[in-house]
Amino acid sequence: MSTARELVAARFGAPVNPVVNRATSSVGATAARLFINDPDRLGFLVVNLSVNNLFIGPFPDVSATKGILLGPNGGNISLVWFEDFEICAWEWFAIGSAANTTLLGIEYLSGR
Amino acid sequence: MRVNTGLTVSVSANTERWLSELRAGRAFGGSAQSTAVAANFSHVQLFNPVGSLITIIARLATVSLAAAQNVGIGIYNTALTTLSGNGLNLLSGGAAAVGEVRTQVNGAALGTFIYLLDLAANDPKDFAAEWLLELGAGEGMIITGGVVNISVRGSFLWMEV
Repeated sequence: MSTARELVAARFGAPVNPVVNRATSSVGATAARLFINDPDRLGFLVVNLSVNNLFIGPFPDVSATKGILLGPNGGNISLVWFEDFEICAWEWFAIGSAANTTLLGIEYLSGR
Repeated sequence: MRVNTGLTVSVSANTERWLSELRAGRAFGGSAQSTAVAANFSHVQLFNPVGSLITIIARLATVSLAAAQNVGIGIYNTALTTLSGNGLNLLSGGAAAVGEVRTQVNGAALGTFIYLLDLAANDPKDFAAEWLLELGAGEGMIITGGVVNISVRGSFLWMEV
């Protein structure tokens, strides 16, 4: 019997390790880093756990008028390299509509 | 990239709103009769008392006349003189309404009419759009007999939000 890890490695050629909230678990009303730049990141999932709006984007000036909106209580986004290309590995930023905008960020990192 | 904003759209569904308000104890009903008096118009009113903290949204008005005649349904923002009673909670056992059903006979017809209709004698009619009208504090809805000396019966359903 193969494990999920082994099947992933067989299909994509490398082991992939999910990491939860590596950079942060919440942001405030000021743009902050969500994910560091990491060429090993093959994809990620972000879920807005808060009652606030959450905006994310691969640029530091993310704002309520410039970013991808994840609505309160479960808005989410997932990216994977074979659909979204190198943008998965870029540095990502986030901003909440209020303080303590909590989130779940899972990164899928290869070779670890 | 797959994005689910998690945002929902509120869609108004009147039936469901009424059902939910009813089950929450915020839907009421009440009725009264304004008996015929010579040389006087009969009136029945749903009234939201001055200074109340609720808004009434009327759902239904039912009216019948003791004789074939026209009837007006409209707005009259002064409490009629006789309090017939506060509305009964449509959630059985729930608290009584803030809204009042009142009556008055008066030498002149009261109210500014939205509906003016001819009715047969003792033939109740319902007046209900999806929602009838909204009454803030100190505002009332009135049913007025079309002539003097005619008995008017009026019933209302409403919610208080």
